[in-house]
Amino acid sequence: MSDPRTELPAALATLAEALVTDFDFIDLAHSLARSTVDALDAAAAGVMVVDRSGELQVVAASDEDTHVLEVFELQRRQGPCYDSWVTGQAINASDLSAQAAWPDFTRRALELGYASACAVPLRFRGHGLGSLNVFGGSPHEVTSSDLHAAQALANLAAVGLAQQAAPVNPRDLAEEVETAIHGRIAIEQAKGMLAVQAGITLEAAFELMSAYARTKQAFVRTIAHEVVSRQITAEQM
Amino acid sequence: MSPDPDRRHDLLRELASIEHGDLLERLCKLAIAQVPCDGAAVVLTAQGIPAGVLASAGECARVLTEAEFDLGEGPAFESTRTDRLVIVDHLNTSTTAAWPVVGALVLQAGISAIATLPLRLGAIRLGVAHVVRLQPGPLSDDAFATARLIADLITDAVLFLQAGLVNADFDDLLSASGTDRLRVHQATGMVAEILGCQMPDAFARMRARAYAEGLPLVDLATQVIEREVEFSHDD
Repeated sequence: MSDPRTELPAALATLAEALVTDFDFIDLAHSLARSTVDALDAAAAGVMVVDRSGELQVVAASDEDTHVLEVFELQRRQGPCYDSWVTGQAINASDLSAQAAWPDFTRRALELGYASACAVPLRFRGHGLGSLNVFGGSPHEVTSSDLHAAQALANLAAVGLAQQAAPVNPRDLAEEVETAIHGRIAIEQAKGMLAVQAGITLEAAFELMSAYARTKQAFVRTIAHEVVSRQITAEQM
Repeated sequence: MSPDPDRRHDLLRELASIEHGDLLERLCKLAIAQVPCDGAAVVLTAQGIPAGVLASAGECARVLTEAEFDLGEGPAFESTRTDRLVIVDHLNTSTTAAWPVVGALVLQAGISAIATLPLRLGAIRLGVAHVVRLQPGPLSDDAFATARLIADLITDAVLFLQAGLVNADFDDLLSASGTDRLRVHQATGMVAEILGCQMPDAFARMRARAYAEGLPLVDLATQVIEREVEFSHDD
């Protein structure tokens, strides 16, 4: 993997910067996913949080390709992300082709060209909030320093999620998780509308919203709500 | 927060044993028995403000919703305006400062605690569910988790009713809702744009079509995304 001495400080700085400004957890989670890919020289990363039914839901991925989202989504009840959330431990599957656990997840991950996977928990003061999942393009041993780096990034994001629930209590934390899940659903609804409006892919629709949110210095979630309520169209972006 | 994957199924089993009343009324009774609480109500919103009571169970819930609609203030209005959960564990003049007249009326009726949960799905806002109690104090984590799960079931049920699935087996539909898959929401957005309709209508039409064709919602969603299925205004 790449040299964490150069990539990791940049990733930490990006996340820490987000924490001291006004931010939305979905945007922070996208930043976490992309920073993790850079810092660990990985193929893809995704952030999942647990919903009220005890299933993990995708809130962000480094790559918005529908198939990539699907391989994270497959981990609602199985896979390294799920195991990491349940155990509160880092999970390291260095060679997916030799992996017997999680058959549905492993088959799809291999089809998409991922050879290794690891996951670290997102947790705050004893509350398991979800996990951060990283895919590698070739089978290799993820080093303990890679896992530490991923956990450090995940911890910063967990602090971010908890900070929005301040003063922290389980009920407010649950409310923040809920807001993130519905924000993500709103983004998917808006992607569908934009894809039809502009005749583009769902992935391109996300990029369009994301770029527009940056120029407007707004949260992607806010832009998604404006799209759904027809205050803004693809053309206006 | 102690999520239990089987809790939703347990609640559906309990729901099946509640026989009297329409689906939403049964869900209110489910809340009374399972949270537990003394009253529950489902309030629908239209154009961003509370517009009517769809169902309620328990006298105290009726008192609360009547006071809210008579006076145009209350936790349903507050939750709709802020798009947040409203929780008052100890009702008194200071904790009900945002809706003082309704606060006084419900206090007089013996109500001591109210939790008002938004009914939402992504950018869709349907209304709120009230959980009303005569005893003061916070809901336990488990009771709160149960209230949230029942609010989810109510959200699904309202969407089913909007889909015009009047003769469907709701208990069956609720156990396989499909709203936990991202592609269902992507497809809903596409259908809303194709038909030029609002998101709940698009969702209702997809649901009705999937039901009519005997398809899981997520499979129909895949067909929509792959442009293998047409939606027209006649659907």
